[in-house]
Amino acid sequence: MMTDADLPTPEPTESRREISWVWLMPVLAVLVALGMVWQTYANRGPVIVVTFPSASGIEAEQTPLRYRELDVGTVEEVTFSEGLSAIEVHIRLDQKIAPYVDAGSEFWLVEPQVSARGITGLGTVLSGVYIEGSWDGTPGEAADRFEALTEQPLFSPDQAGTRIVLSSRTGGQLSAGAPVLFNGISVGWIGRPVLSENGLTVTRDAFIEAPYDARLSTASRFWDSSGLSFDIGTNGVSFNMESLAALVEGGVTFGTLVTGGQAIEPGHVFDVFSSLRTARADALEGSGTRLSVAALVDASVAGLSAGTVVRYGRANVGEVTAVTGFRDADAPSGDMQLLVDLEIIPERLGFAAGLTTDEQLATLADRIAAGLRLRLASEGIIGQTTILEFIQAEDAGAETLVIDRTPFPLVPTAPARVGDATEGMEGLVDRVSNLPIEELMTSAIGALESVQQLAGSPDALQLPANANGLISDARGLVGSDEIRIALADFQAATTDLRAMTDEIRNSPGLANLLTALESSQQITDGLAAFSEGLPGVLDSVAVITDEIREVPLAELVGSLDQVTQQLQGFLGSESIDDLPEAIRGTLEELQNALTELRTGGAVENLNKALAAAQGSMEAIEIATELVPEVVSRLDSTARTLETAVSGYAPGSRIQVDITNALRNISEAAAAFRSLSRTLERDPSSLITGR
Amino acid sequence: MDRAEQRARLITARDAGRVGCRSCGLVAPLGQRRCTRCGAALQSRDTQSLQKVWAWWMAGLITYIPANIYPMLRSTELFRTTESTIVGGVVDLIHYGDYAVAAIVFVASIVIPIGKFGAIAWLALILGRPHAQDTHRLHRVYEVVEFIGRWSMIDVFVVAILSALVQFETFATINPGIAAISFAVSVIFTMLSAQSFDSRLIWDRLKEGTPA
Repeated sequence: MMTDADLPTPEPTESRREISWVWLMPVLAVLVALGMVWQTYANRGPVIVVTFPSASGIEAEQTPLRYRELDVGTVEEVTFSEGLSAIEVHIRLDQKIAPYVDAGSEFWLVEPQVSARGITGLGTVLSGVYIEGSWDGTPGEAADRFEALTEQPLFSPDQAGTRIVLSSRTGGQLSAGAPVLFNGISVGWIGRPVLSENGLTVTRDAFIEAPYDARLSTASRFWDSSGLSFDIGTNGVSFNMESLAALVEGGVTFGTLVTGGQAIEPGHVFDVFSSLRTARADALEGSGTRLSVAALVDASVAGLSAGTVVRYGRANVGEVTAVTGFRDADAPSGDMQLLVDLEIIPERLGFAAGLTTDEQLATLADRIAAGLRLRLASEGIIGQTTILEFIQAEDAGAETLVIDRTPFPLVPTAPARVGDATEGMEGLVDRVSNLPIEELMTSAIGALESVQQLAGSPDALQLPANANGLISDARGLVGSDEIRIALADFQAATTDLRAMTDEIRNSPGLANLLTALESSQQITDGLAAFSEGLPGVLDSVAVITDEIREVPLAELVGSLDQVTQQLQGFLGSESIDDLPEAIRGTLEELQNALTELRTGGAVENLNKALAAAQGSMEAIEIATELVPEVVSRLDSTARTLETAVSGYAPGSRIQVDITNALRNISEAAAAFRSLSRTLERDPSSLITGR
Repeated sequence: MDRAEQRARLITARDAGRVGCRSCGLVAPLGQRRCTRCGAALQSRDTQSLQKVWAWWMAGLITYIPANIYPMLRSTELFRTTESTIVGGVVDLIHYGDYAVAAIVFVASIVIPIGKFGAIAWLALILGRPHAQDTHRLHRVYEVVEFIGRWSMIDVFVVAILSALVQFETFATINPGIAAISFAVSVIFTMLSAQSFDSRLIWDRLKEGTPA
């Protein structure tokens, strides 16, 4: 057993004061922690403040800022601005992206949106909203306070394409984001509609992506291709539908309908037409600038509405854009009037092209001083449509263009020309009967009369009779088929002309004109056939003449001489004395007759006959010359209106008038034809009115 | 048993001129360098024990700070990413009504580590100079600290398992945050700190003649 004494003396514990290597660990930990802290602070980007109208889902430390769908920052704090008028969102940017967030940057909130074109921002339903930023790729002037956009901008600054402005009358079916189509391809989209200051037009920004924006020019026309288009025309029923999105959300199609457009600047304003048809009409007629004016009309007028046509003569010069009630505070009666806003195309009123609005107004004021007035009118053959028309009033008062009484300059009005259906019909008939039909008929009748005179002249009639006794085979020639056909044609033509003349005389009006025109055609045809037959006639007559010439007149005369001499010899013989005196007298008479005959009676008669034949030949020749003249006169009378048209300077009012008149006549004719056909088929329509 | 009595009866190996092998328990005479049985280095007292304890303790404390500041979990559910710190997670759990889970997380992640820091610091402070504490109690505290140390890793395990299991791409994804690593490191450091503690020191610095 060991005792305490046996134990070795414990070595004194050496109190080594050396530092343990373990101390490296906390030092290392501190270093690492400091390093982390430093890194965090060094990598921290700047804070920007974006002002939003409402926080709508923005959460501090949660909502990211995204650029091209990549997180480039996080909301650190959401506070109220001073006065609680807005929400200030403090966003910590990534350091790398911070230099690019310059003064031109834009921010907006991305929320889930459901539209006809699809659902956007679906991810935000679950993840919460995020803030999208947009800036270009070059660092610019630094900024740290921004106002958020209320919606996503139409395009980002680095997107290639062209921004344009579309202007239309109404917001219509076109909603923000609707596609812009070109040849059926979606080439862009349109933004939110904005009402113009005067409240009459709606403008939207639109963006056409590159490279399709190269298709844009000043000749481009935009039209609304929303929904369904349904056309019933001569080609049957056409049913047209663009894309489903366009059906629901609307869409705008553009195309270059005429050549010669120039390149456009970004921000060019295009009108949106209601359909391809109107767009094409505009492109072909040339639109020019539009001038807005107004007119006050009696409130009792019915049928005026936006879209009502404004005419000048027969030309469309614009349309009514709005009809509103107007009570003039200064007027003593205080009666309600209708204030009609119109949009006119000054060029179609004969204004010089390229004028500014002020210059156009000045020109309009001058024209008004010279008697230009606006009036209500009704038009249409059977159904009545109220229109507005500019007229050159004869007894215009001293009214002037009133600039500042209404939003648009006020054009003075003339008494309305509003009639009922009968008046419209009568007016049409009047217009038709005012055409120079009489002149046409007179000249036609004159021509026909001369032809008749020629045909019925005694010379011409006597020619065959005279010649008959002398040349029997001339008959065969005269009665030849050619002549008969020619004469029959001529007869038919004459009959037609007569019938036509009668018809025209008996029944004035449009139907007559139609018949007359048709008959004229037949006349022309008949005359043409006659002229074709004429050479044959002339040939035949020449043959007759030749044969007449070849008749052995000398022999005849010789034989007559012989007879005479024999008779003389007989008479002079002794035996004759025995003859009674009576016989002798008779013989003497015969002698006288023969002498007469010899001295020229028969020959003269023959000569006369020949001369008459010659005369009729000439008459026929004259007639031959007359026929083309008749034809040309018919032609010329038929073209009177046309000549009249070409006689005036192009674009003049009268030309427009006449062109319109012609168009109206043909339209009226067509209308009448179809009306008569309808009536033929269904007489009850007269009663039912359908 | 009276404390003075107890103290009187206690004879340390060192007092007995022996040194115990910390690996296999074989008692060798003081001064022997290596254990004859297992070959481990023999040292009667680790003179640098308290230094090491304090060093690991500080390292653990430093790493425990980011473990609480930075997010422990990054969970992404359908585009929405939530990051939760330890305390935030506990608060969230309480909000959701999961009091039990909240309690477990709270105990495992906050109570135990902080208690451990406190316990180790207390032990190290006491043993830094002569003391008159109940050595048995000190030892028991030490045993508890050393035993419980590994259970602090429960948080890290939860994060590791969740991260490994919940990877459904867009629907739900859980990734460990930087705090998970910090926390794991912190736990390792505190375990090392506890291990550096030479429990034999408990018996050395008893003040002689301390009144019972």
